[in-house]
Amino acid sequence: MGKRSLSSRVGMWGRGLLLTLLVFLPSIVASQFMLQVLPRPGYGLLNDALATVFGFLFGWISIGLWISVAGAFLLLFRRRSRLQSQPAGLQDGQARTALVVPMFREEPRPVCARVEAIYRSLLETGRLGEFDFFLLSDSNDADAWVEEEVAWAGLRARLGPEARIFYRRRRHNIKRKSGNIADFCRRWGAQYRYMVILDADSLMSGGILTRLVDLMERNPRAGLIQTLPAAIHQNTLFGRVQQFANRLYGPVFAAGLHFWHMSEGHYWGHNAIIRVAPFVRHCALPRLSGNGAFGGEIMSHDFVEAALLRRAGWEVWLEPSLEGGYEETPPTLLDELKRDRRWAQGNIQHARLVFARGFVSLHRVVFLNGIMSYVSSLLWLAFLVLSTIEVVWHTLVPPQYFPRTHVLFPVWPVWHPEWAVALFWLTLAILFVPKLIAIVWTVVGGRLRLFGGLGRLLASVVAESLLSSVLAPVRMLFHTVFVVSVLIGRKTQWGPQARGDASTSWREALRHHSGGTLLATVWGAVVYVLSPHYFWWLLPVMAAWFIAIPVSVWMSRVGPGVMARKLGLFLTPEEKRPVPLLRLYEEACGAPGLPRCTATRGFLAAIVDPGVNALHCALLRPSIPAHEGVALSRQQLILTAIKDGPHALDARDQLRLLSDRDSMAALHWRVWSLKGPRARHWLDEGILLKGKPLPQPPFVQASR
Amino acid sequence: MVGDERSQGRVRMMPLDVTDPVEMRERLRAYLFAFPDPQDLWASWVEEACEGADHAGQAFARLRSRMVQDLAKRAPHVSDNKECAAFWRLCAWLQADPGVLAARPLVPPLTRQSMASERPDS
Repeated sequence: MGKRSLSSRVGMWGRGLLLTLLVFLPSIVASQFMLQVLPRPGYGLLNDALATVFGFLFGWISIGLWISVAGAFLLLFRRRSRLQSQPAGLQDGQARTALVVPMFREEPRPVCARVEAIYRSLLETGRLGEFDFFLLSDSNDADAWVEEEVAWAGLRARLGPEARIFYRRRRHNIKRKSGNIADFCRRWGAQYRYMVILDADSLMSGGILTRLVDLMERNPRAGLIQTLPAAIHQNTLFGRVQQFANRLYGPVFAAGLHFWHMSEGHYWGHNAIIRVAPFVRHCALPRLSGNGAFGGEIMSHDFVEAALLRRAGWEVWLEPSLEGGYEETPPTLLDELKRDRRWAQGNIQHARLVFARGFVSLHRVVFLNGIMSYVSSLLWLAFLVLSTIEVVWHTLVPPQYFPRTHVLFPVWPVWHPEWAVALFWLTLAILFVPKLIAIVWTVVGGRLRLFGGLGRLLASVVAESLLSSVLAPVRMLFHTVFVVSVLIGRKTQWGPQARGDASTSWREALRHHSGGTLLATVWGAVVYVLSPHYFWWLLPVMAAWFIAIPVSVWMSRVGPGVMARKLGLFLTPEEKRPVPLLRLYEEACGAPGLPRCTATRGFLAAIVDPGVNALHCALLRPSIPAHEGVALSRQQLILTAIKDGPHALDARDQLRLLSDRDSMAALHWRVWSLKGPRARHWLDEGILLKGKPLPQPPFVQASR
Repeated sequence: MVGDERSQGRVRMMPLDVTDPVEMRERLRAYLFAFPDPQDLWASWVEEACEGADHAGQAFARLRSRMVQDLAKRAPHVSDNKECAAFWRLCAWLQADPGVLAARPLVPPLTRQSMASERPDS
């Protein structure tokens, strides 16, 4: 790709300079003001540290303010996008698009139901023929692997033989999701001009998908267009609060990001369309040198891939005006925090890339922004600790009225609590103005009805703000722990994502939040004894930590969420105005699964069930002549399985067996021929008992 | 013990497979009747496979041959590999025409390309 035009570069620099001034100047002023607020005569180093940390935090929250202001500007003046949006048909009929769904130990039936809904939605547009679907599994669990295959076969059976929906599982999940997509690109990428990356919980309508393809066709310099997915399907109180915030504040914020970043935008790893050829050419991720948290594979790949595309001259756009893309969010606070732990590690790892060669400035800012998303919690806690030390010091150490000798007049301690209050309100205003902007845009844009009307919207915002104020200190404490863990070199395992209506047990909440409760009790008690006045300043944080256990449990329940919905709180546009795509999804969820030949599931079904075994064998590569040792090892596995049954095989053995077509076919016929107790390891009692009526097929797979 | 004269000639091979003809028939019926129709055809296949078979392994081997023959009749072009008994089972399970199912690839043909390596931290 060629270089950017001069006007584009000037525009980007101008915006960058403007945002820098808008963030840095007020931060410096606020930092200086904080110095004035602190008691004098004070402790120079401590005061400087407090003012510096406050300055950083002030700048951090004011970025959100200016993003929202810019977003409101764009939305109110209807200048939504700089992308060329004139509809364009296929220019040469070659614009084939792959919809790529990486999976890792997901519940397969809902994933297939989402694919079915997208398929049917695309069918309604009349452009289904341009799209192929790929379910790309990285599941390293035998049961999950087999059930994914069966769910996929059921999907193909429902949609008919013409459906171009493919399933593939990688044997080795190298580089996790990014490696999975790279593997797709190597194998089949050459057949497609575009690919749309979907998460396992993503839903996109046919309308938005065809629009994305048209936008890419119309903007040949665009390498990637990211959409803004709307959160849906939340029933727990926590989920509903997050969903409401996403739907109310998200569009304004995303429009602001569009304004500031323009063609150097974000990529969030899903619900985005990518031009395959440049992605293949420029976005292979390296392995970072060294070990520990900063080395090894790049964990949060999406920001890096966007930066690599842009470095090669391709535009990366966040396009928030496109509606019809959806995702699900974590249902509970602890699920969100588990996800954040992985993200914290991935983002902090980007510290290695901030100064890497060739990246554009804004993508370096994106890396820093990601790092600050978690490091800001450490700074907030540092601010609390430093301010507590300041208060304790002033309480325990008597003031020196004559710090220098040979002076006639004492130096009286000076402390302006009213200035502190003013600074507090200013900080709150910066935090809450983006919410007000979103409300104004909702009113002006005629979207009030979609949130249940003005009264319900305002009540929801107040409730959301209160609950967020309780959750923010808890998140801060956890994020601090995550950051420290990363800095001392602890690595996090990447597990499957919790979806649906999970809930947090009291035991689990106690295990995770009791440290915070204890800390709040001790810290609060000490401060209350030494400085009751300051205790009230700390109370919002201490109280949030203190009640974290019941709050975490209560908000994870569906009951309070349903109650809030009945009261008209936290309503979202998708709930007030049903979306055809979501109806298609509900229908797909309710469809019966593929009838099975036997009642077995998972690994056992792949051995015993004549249909599932045949399907699994058909999806495996033909067995190749193996090294003598490998062949003997496989024979040994089969003998162990025959002799001692499936329970004698550990997870690794099961995967080894499942990976070899000849072994699977041989074991299938062997277990059906076995007699006596050995057969009982595998076959249902109904099959083994003489004279008993045969089980009645088909066994319909239970609906979700 | 190996080489023990008293044990020589007394080692008995214990069959692992079902040998009882009634049980063998029931096992094959349980296997075949798990598939959807035509169930009257399955009954004749069970009789054919079990007739004179010493053990269930042999009966199931005959059943596999029967499946291959059936597939050869219905879709000659897909019955020339050793996996065709499994393919027959897949078609029977999904109630799909073998010719149609064989014409639809489970995954598209590969068109391999490599991804260029990058070194952003260099």
